[in-house]
Amino acid sequence: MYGKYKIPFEYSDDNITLSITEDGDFFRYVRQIKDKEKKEKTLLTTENATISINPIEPINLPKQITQYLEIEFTPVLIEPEGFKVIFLLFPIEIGVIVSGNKKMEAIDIFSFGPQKYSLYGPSAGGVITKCYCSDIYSSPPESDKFYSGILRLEIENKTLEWVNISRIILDGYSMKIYYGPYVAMFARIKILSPTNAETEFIREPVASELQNAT
Amino acid sequence: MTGIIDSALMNQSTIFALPLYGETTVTDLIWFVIILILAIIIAKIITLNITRFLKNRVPKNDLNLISKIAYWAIFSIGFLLALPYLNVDLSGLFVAGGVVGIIIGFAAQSVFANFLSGIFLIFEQPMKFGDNVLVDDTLIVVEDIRIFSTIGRTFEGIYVRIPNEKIFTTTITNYVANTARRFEYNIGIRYQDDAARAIEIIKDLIDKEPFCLKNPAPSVYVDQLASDGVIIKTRIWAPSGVWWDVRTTVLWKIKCAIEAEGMQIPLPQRTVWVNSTNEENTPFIPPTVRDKVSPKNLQSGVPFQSEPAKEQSHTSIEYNSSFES
Repeated sequence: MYGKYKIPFEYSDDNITLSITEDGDFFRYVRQIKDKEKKEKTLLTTENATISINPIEPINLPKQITQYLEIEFTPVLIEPEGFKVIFLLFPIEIGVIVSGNKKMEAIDIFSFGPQKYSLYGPSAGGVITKCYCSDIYSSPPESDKFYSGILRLEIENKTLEWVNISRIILDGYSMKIYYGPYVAMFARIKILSPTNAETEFIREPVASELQNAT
Repeated sequence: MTGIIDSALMNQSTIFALPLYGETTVTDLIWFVIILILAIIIAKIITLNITRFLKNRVPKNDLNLISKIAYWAIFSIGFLLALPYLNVDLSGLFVAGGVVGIIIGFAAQSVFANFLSGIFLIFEQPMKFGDNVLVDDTLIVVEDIRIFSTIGRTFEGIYVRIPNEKIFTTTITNYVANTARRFEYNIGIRYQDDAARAIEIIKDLIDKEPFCLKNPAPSVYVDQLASDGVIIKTRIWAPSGVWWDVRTTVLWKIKCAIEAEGMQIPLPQRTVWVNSTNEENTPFIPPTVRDKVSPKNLQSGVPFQSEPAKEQSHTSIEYNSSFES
């Protein structure tokens, strides 16, 4: 399903049917996920427009109310000044993006997975996060590229104490997602004190076979 | 060499000491100009900082007004400080100014109070554009915070203008100032229904609702053994921006989920006993005792029991929240 298409086009598998068909002077976009409501949109464009379908930052559904993704995992204890790489899973949202005259616009965003929000911090001053629970893995786990991606997370403990971590908050605006046979991104968390850490994304694919999502 | 410098200084001091008019010398004039220039520079710096600070906090028109007032106020202070160098006697001006000030003060008391309150509200920021706030029994969505008044819209779409002085001196309840807020339901089930199973159903349903926050976790428990049924208290946290939508949709889903499991929302029921005999001394026999008494011995006390409305699915769920939109 992921990739670039010229319109009109049609894609179908066991879970989803996606199509852009010509309807007189218009193009009609239809998306039907199994057991879910059908989504339709009319495009006023020419055949020169192209469609990209790729994973996007998982912070848009069901409504964009936050820019943060929170991944909860089994608590891990990292040694003083330690450095370790772990792998987590993160949720995927799929964007259908139309391009024409050098401009892009998302015509549809959907997901096959469940959605859940959480609050990080106190109700006054905290932030709403899109919440996802993952196991931790020492090597890249198997994942369905339409449901979840693989997050390679470098953990760097800069303190002189053992530190317990059980969640990571990632800023969706600076996410860099790559896709190919699987979906992946690469992030780093620096623990600056037992109660303070900073996260950043590394703008390089985990493997050379992956390409940058739009 | 020293002689040349001395003569130059002598010449200079002579020039600076020259009276231009009356007792005003060139030095006085220079000081007057310097103070005015300093006042202009300070006014511009302060105005620039005020503009930067308030840029995203007040409407553009009010921002222009505030910056102009600040500029001219500072310039006026500088001008008044500089005037004595021109040997202008300000005592008469101050007296006249004082009298005029008192008159204006009385006349424009509320205007000035609103203006000052507006300034304080801009700095304190108890509310922002788009917030749902309760100001003195008026529930509004804030649309504009101006220098003299705050403009809002009620949920019925009515335009409301509230003077800033009133806002500043009254209690403001901002329903969306915090990131998340909690609401609760009281859900009743019958005594014969399984409360533990009902709690499990409600928790599962909340877990599947995206906007019912995972943290802080929802709280679902038996709260009361009430006269008509068992009351299950359900407390849910939701993002402030969408809490009303969540509150209005989740309740019906809970009701449907509970009924799908064969449980029912209890209706208030009352049993009426009609005494059909005229004998005054006939004792009343309650139903529990009556069942054990032989029918032969029953001389009176015929009960009439109203039909229980078992098949009705009318809801008796209570809302408990401090905010109605």
